[in-house]
Amino acid sequence: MGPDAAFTFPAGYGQTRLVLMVKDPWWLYAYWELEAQTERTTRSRLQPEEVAGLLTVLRVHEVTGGREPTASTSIRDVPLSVLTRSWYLPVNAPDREFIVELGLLTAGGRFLSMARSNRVRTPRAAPSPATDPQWAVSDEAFEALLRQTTGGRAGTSPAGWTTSFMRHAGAGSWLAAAPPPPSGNPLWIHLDADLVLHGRTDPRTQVRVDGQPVAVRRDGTFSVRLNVPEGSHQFTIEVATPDGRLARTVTPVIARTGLGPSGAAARERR
Amino acid sequence: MSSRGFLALILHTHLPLVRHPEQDGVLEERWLFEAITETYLPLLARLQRLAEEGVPVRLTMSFTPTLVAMLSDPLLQERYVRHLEQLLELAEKEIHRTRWQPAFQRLALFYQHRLSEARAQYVERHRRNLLAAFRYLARGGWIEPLASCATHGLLPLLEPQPQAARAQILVGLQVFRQAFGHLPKGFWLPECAYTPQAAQWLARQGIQYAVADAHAVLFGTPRPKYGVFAPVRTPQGLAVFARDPAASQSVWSAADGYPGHPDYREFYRDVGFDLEYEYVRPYINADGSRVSTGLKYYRITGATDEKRPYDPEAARRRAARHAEEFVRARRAQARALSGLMAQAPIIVCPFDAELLGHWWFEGPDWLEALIRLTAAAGSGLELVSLGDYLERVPAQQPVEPTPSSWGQGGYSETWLNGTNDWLYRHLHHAAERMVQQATAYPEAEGVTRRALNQMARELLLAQASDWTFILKAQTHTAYAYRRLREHLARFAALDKALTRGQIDSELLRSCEAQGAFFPSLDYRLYAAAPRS
Repeated sequence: MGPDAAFTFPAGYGQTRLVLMVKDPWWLYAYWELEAQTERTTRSRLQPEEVAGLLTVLRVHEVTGGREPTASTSIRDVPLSVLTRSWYLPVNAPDREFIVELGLLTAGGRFLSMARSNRVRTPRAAPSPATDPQWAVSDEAFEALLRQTTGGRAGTSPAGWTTSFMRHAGAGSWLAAAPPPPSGNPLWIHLDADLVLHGRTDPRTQVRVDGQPVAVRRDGTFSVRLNVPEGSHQFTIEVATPDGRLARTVTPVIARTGLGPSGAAARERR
Repeated sequence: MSSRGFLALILHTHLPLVRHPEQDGVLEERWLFEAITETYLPLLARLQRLAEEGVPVRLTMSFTPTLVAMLSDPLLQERYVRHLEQLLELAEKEIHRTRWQPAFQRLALFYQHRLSEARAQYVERHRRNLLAAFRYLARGGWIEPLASCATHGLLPLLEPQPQAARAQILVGLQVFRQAFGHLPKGFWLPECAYTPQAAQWLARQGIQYAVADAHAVLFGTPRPKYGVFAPVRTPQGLAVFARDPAASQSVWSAADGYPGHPDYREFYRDVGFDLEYEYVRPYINADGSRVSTGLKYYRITGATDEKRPYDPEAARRRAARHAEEFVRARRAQARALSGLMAQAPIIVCPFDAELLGHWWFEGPDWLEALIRLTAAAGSGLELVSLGDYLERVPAQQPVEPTPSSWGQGGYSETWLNGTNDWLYRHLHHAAERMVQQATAYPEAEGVTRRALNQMARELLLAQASDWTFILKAQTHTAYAYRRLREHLARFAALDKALTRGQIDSELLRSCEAQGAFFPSLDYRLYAAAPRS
């Protein structure tokens, strides 16, 4: 038995940690863990009158250009409930840098930081206004290029440039997949019919169905599976001695009606 | 050749490591088997045919280390041959069963032929070693091979622990060097997920280029003069090529792309699901759950549930017409661009290799037809690898691309959302422990060294973007959980044993047996002061 049999993902690692990640130009994701000692130490710095109305908050700082987080860089406080351990932050700000702090906020507005995150930068979500004089390109020329990029679907304004060509491409093309239920019909059904023809004879004989040899087992039994098409169908079963001198033929008819073509869905009847 | 435009086709081959020595018949090993039968062998056969005919073939192909490991693994090679033989047996039974249904019997014969060809190709021609076959194509100049991350880790989401993200790149390059004998010119960023940090690591390793999605470059700073039709040079010195969305759209799009045409084979109608249970029981999954077998009898037909039988010849003709359409559209694009650009445009089309063949059964036919058409005189297009292009057009505009990916939404949301965000605290913690232990044991020997190397393997295998993708896609999720739990459990157990100073050799052996991957992995690349 391997080490994984009893393994569960731990709730925490006994550390104080706040990690900030970028989902896209508009959203950040933060997860954290607070060591019990961190919170106790921070709380011990509170004045007695500050305990009432105390909030745990995630403080978002915009620190573009390498600024350090200060009261003035704070753009938002997200109040958290006790058990929260992660949060998606809608910063709505492409091409900006952020740091978040987890801390206690008193009713009087004093912020006591307990953890600070890494610094992240959101990606751009539109073409840059900056151009390089050596590689100058006018708005018109750039727009013409974008039209070639999108097969004519580009917006005509920079706002329309943003997402018109961002389409989902590949991931997981190697995955196998079970067939999805067809259409929205709750009564969908696929019907088909196989005939299992089986029998027994002298094990030394040769059995043929429609001229095709069939394997006869040592005990003389044999079986053939045949997909039966719609309609009436005559076929031949032939049994012959190994030298071929004696033979006997059976010509049964099998009819399948009303199922529709093999593999097709049954038509709905009311 | 005077050409109006360059066309670069990039096939990204990748599978997560699915190898289960401890158990027979694990469903997920079929991912590899299906990719070999439906994608790798058909691609190899076509590329070799073109090469033998002297048609100028030039593709760019990436190979992830997990796939390289599986293609060279004797256990999986053996299991693949067994899998083929099982399918051949099924195809033979099907030839009998469909005797009264000529439209289906033709298909059963078609599959029997394909499968026996596949077996001959795999066993006799390639002696089970497809990696050697790709290496041969690379040496002959028909493909330009690219390296990729060790286990397809999504770099932007690993970067909070930089050494762990960097190790994905370094291990990827080491595996490539062992497989192909030299460093690659370019690097495939998993999911086209570009970051400035990755550009810096790659440039420092001497890598010339990477591929990103269109908006990485279009939204780059300053504005790129030639849009996606010329690579840009990042401040770190890496050339970045951008995917052309118009070209990609016609192949990728489920709605209006080629693969959805009614003549093409319907992916979801497979005898593994359609036939009577006891009859197909020996050919589906060992646990009795139905799975695809690859024997599929219907064509897409249209937006109907009444599917018509598949006609391979009609489908092949359709693929040839789609290749003509594709070439015509690219030529028109190149012509329109010639008025806008002072240099010949490059149209960059990356695809998952497994899209061709596995999802789009006729994809390899389309590719072969496309290569023949571009090779024809007067096509106006020249097929190049990305490395060739850089030699032909050495100057690039300095641009800082924006971080992005080719996943849904264009950034990281596929791999960071409510279905999978819980994982990152565990991945980042494990990465941090790896760095701490590697730093604590700078020159470990014996079992300590083996334990550290195995920890690195388990960490890399847990970081595969495939698991977070699967959690998001909500298919095979139990398997993704299982793999994440296994790798992180083994990592934690080894970490604990190392810290206690008592490494249980039984534990170590079982981890090494199950998490076998990249035998020459050296944990020291995680040490805090990176060796250069």
